[in-house]
Amino acid sequence: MLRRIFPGLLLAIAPACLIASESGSSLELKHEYFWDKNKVWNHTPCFSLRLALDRKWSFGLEQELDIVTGASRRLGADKIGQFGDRELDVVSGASKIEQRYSENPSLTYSHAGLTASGSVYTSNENDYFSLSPAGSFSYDLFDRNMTIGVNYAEFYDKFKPQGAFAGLGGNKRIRSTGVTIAQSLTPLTLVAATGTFIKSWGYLGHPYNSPMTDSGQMMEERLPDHKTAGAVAGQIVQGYHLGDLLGSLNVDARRYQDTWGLTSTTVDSKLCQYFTEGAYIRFRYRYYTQTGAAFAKRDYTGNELYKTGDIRFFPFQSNLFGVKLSGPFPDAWATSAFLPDRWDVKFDYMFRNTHGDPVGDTPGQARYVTYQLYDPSETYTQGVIMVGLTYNL
Amino acid sequence: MINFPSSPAGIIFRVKKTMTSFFPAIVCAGLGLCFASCAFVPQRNREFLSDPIMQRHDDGMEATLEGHDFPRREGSVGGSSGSGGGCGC
Repeated sequence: MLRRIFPGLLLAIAPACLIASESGSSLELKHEYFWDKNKVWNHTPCFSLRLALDRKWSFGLEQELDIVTGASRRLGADKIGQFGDRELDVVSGASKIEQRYSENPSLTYSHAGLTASGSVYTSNENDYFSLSPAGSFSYDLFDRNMTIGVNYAEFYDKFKPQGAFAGLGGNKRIRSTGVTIAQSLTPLTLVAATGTFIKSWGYLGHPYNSPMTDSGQMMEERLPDHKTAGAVAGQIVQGYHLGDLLGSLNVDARRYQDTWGLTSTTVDSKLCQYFTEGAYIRFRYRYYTQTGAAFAKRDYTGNELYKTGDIRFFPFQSNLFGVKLSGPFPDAWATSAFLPDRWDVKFDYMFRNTHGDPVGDTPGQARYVTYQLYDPSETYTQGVIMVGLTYNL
Repeated sequence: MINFPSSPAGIIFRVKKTMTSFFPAIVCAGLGLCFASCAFVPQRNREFLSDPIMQRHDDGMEATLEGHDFPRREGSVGGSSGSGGGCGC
């Protein structure tokens, strides 16, 4: 995997400084580290390259490498450790440490308020492959006071479970269409509204998350083979001044509903404040709540048409708190192509009101074996640290 | 309990019902923006609107990463714009 990635990385980045004939070219490097209460961890090094080819055309390339444990969180990903074994889980067949690699090259045309972009996203892991061509178009109106945009993406996904669940899975298609309108109201106020329509069909399940009977026996998951979903979102960005320094409050609210009976609401708020010229601090709070899918139950008799043990389809609420710092490096560094222009670092902490496993009637025996490998008096928590460097090419 | 559509007609009915429930919000948002378009901020006053912290996403790459990773980590459906592209799980 690494041998395949690094040559591509070098080929993409090395000539970037030479090709970048216009201002606006940049290279962002980031590294994200995630961990959670189940001792699952995830390293994600990634980069985003923006290359201005001329005044109208630009080329983009994003690459991500995920190295993750918890491929089978439910059945024993616990206590693997940072550099634990890479054997397949003996029960589920899922890998304990898994690599996912994705890239997304894009080409963008932008001129006189019109922007059109096309991209092809691919993602590869040992039991999942995704290919997604996508396109977007936007146009500025009223002397750039209003922007109307549409985007469209098709996903051709293939889920090919390994080990004990080999043979399950299948092809999945997702079609996503979105419309966005953004409007500047005052020199310090921007509002936007987004509508998204998503249609999915094919194999929409996840065989590693088997449902249970009330006696604790596993059954094969069975879900509808199609789903239609819609989401609307509204956003306001309100700027202000604290002395001479600019600050902003960004609030984004989203409502989602699908034909499986699941609805969710997200409120994401960010408060940004410059504390020196070019350096700012960002505080974030995000609240999320969802209902369960209509067929999601803790226990099944086995006669139900649809059955799932996937926690994604059960009701819960979550809260996220975050802080981020971003700032410039000294101006003198700008004379060198090898020194970055900006840095950023962030920390996010999230908790979700999903409790650990309740213990069954027999001492020491878990009645409900779910994702949660911790005490039932505790809730699920996770954290993310991300550091980044930006080069203006 | 929802009855799941098993025929094309059932699917169409379900889609219409879903979109009907969203329709008022879409109309309100559209009308609000149409009225708001009367507002006009001249180019010379757009200095602050072009600042990174006044953008819809102050960090585009962070937003892209979250779109891919956050739903599976949180175990959520519909909480972000990500709709496919691999689960990393």
